[in-house]
Amino acid sequence: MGVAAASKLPPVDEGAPLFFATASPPFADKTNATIVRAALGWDEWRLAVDLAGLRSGFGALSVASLTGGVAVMGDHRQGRTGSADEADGGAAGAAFAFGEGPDPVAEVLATASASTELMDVWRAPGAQYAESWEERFSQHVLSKAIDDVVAEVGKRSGISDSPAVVLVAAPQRRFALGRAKALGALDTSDVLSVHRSQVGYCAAADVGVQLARALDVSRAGDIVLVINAVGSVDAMTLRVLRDGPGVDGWTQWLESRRSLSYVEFLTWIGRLGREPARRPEKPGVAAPPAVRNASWKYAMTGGQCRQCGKVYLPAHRVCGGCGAVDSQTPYSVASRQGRVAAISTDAVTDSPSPPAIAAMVDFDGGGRIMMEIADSAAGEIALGDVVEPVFRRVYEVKGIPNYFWKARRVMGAEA
Amino acid sequence: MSKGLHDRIAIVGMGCTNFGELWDSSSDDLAVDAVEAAIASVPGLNKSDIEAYWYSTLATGHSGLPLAKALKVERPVSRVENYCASGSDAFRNAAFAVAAGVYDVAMAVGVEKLKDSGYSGLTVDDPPSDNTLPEISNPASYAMLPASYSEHYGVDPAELRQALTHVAWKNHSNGALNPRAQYKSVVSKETIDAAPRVAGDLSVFDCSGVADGGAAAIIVRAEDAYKYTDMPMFLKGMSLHAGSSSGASTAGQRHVTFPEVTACAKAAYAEAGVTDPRTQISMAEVHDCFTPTEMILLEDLGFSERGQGWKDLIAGRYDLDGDLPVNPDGGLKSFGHPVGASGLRMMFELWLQFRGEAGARQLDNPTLGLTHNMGGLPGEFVSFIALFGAELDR
Repeated sequence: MGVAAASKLPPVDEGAPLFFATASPPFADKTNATIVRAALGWDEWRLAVDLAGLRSGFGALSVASLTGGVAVMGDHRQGRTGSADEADGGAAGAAFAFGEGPDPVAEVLATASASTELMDVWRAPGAQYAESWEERFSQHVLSKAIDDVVAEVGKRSGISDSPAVVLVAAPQRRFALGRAKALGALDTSDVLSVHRSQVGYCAAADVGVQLARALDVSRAGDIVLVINAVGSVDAMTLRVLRDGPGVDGWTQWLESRRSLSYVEFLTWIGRLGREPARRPEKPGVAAPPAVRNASWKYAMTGGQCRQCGKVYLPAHRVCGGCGAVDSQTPYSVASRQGRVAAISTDAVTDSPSPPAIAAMVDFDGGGRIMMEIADSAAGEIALGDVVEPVFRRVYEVKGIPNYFWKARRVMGAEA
Repeated sequence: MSKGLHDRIAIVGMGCTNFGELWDSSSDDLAVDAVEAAIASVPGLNKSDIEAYWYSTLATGHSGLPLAKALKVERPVSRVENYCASGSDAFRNAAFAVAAGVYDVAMAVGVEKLKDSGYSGLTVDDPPSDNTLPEISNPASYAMLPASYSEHYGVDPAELRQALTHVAWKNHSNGALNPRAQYKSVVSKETIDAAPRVAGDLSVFDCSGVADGGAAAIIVRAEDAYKYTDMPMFLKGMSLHAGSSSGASTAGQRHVTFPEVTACAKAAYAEAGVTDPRTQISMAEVHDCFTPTEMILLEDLGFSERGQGWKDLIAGRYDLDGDLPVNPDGGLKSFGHPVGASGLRMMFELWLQFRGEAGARQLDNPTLGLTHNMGGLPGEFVSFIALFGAELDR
C-alpha cells in the first residue's frame, strides 16, 4: 500500500531520504523501507529507514518535512472478532514528498508534540492484537494533551482562526470525531467522519490517509490541522496552496473495491486457515538471486535491446530478436499497462481465496510475463482486458513474505 | 572389441568460466559466458553453426530449456544429469551424436549454481521414499575410506595422513597457479594437518569446495577437426560405468577400491589402446572430491600398485613436476565442484595443456591425458573416464 501510494508521487529529489511508517512491519531486524525504495525503482543512494508504532506515520511526516524527504506509510489495523479495532480498522497507504519542487500542494506552518508516556494502547512484540487501558482514562489524558498541543501549534503557526479542516487520528472512532468537533472545524466535506465510515482507522498510516483526503477536497488558502492522538499527541498545521481535485478520485477508488465476505476477509488476513492445496510448500526467497535480480523483482525492470528494440521481462543476456549479446538496457514496466494475452483460473495452486487467476500479460511497448491476477474473482476479468502491475505480498513461507507484482484489471479501460 | 570412438571425435573449441562464489552471476550468465568463450576460441565459428546442445546440470534447472532460453537458440537441447559425472556425460552424448553423423557440430555445456542454495556442501532433492537411510553427509561417507585403507594395507594412520595432506597441498599448490580456480592460495602442510575435522579424519582441506561455474566444449568428427583449429584435441577412449550398488547393499566390499572405476578404466584403456597407464599417460584430471578419493583412484586407474598409492603421493610422483601430474589445474580441491560443469572443466585443462596455454602450470609436451569424473558415494558410483590425445594415431 505504501508502494502504491508513493508510486503516484511526482519525481522526488535525488538523495531524498525515505521514511517508512507502519505499526505492522513485515520484517523485524531487516529494514522494510528498503523494500519500498526498491519497488519504487528509486536508487539506493539515500537514507531509507523504518519508523515503528501507531505514532510513526506522524513521525514520518514530521521528519520528512524537516529534511526534504519522503514520508511513506502503509498499514492495516486488525483486532479480535467483535473488537472495536476490527470494526473500526482499515487498511491503506499514503505518501508525501517534501521539498522545494514546483506547484506545491501545501506548506507546513508548524508542528508541536507532547510526548506523554501513556499506556493507552500497546502490543507485545509478536502479538497480533493490541491491548488497551480503559479508554475513559486514556482519553482524559489525551484530551488535555490535545488542548495543549493545539494551543502550541497555533502559537507557532500564528493561526488563531478555526482551521478549515481538523483531522484526528486515533483508534477510537468516537473519540476522534468528538475531539475534532470540539476543536471547531469548519469542515463541510466531513473528511474525518467519511474516512472513518468508509475506510476506518489505518493505524500508523491513518494520519497520512486523512491528510491526503483532506488535501484533495481543500481549496487554496485553507488551513488544515492534523492531530495524531495515540500514546502521545502530535499536531501539524498546513496551509493549502492549490485547489484539490475533489472527492471523485476517492469515490471511484472506493467503489472499485470488491466486497469480501467475512470468511474471505479472515482467510486473506491469515486468521482462518484453509485446508492447504495438496502441493509442495512454495519456495522461500533465495537471497543471492533476489539481490542479483533486485531491479526486476522489485521495480519490474526488464531489458530492451539497444540494437533491435525487443523487450524482455526480465532482461536476458542474449537478445532473441537479433542475437546481440549484452545489448539490453534497463526497461521498467512497473508503470505501464498491459493486456491479458491468455488467462485461466487455477484451483490447483495454493491460494487464500481459490481459485487463483493466472494470466499471461503483454505489456504496452513489449515484454510478456505470467502474472497472478489481483483483486478479481473468476469471471471478472477476461482475455484482452487492460491490466496494471501492483506490488503485492504474493505469498509467505513460515511468516516470511515474498513480494512481487501481480496484475490488476484497470477499471474503466477499454478491453 | 570395438574401438569405440577412438580417434573419431575431436574437441575444437572450449570455454570455462572462473569457478567460485560468483554471487554476481546467474546460471544464465555462466552458460552465456562459457558458450561465448568456447565459440570465440574457434575463429570463424558462429553460434548458428552449433547444431545441437547437451546441457549438464544437477540442480540448476530442469530440461533443456534453461540453456535454450539463456542462449536464445532454437536447437535441440537435452539436459543430462548423472550426478557429479553430469558434465562428462554431456560430452559423451554429444560425441555419440556427432560420431553417428546426425550432427557435424555439437556442444556440451555444463553449468552449476550451487552457492545460491545457502547450504553447506552439496544437497540433492531425492524422490519420495520410505526414508530408511540415515542422513549422512558426503564428507562422512568419504571419511570412511582412510580407516579402511589403513586397516587393509596395514598403513599407520599418521603416515596415511601425510598422503592425504599431500593431496590437499599438491592440489592447492596447483590451483594457486590457475587464475580460474576458486581457491588460489598455497596452503602449508602444517595448516592442513592442524585444521579441525569436519568428518572422521577429514578437515575442510580434505574436501572439495562448493562453487559456481560453467564450461563448454565444441565437438566435431575427428576428420573435420582441422577445419576448425590447428590444435584439436582427439578422443582416444571413453567409458561410463554405472555400478549396481552392490557395494552399498550386500556385504563384502572393502572401502579400499571403487570397482566401478576399475571396470570403467579397463574399458576406456582398451578403447584408447592403453596397456600401461603408468607410463603411457602424460597427465590426469581425477575426481578429487575428497583427498582419500584421489588416493584410491590412483590405484584404481592403474597409476600406482595396490596399497602403494599413498607412498607414491608422498614421494611426489603425482606433483606438477612429478612423473605423472595429477590434477595439474588444482582439481576439485581448488576449483570447487559445480557439479554439471566439473567434467568439462577437467577436459578444459587437457585442452590448455595440449595447446601450451596452461601458463605457470604448463607441462612438458603432454601427449595423452585422462579425465576421470564420478558421482555417488563409496559403494555406489557412476564413473566416467575419457582419454584425449593431441594427435591422431599415425
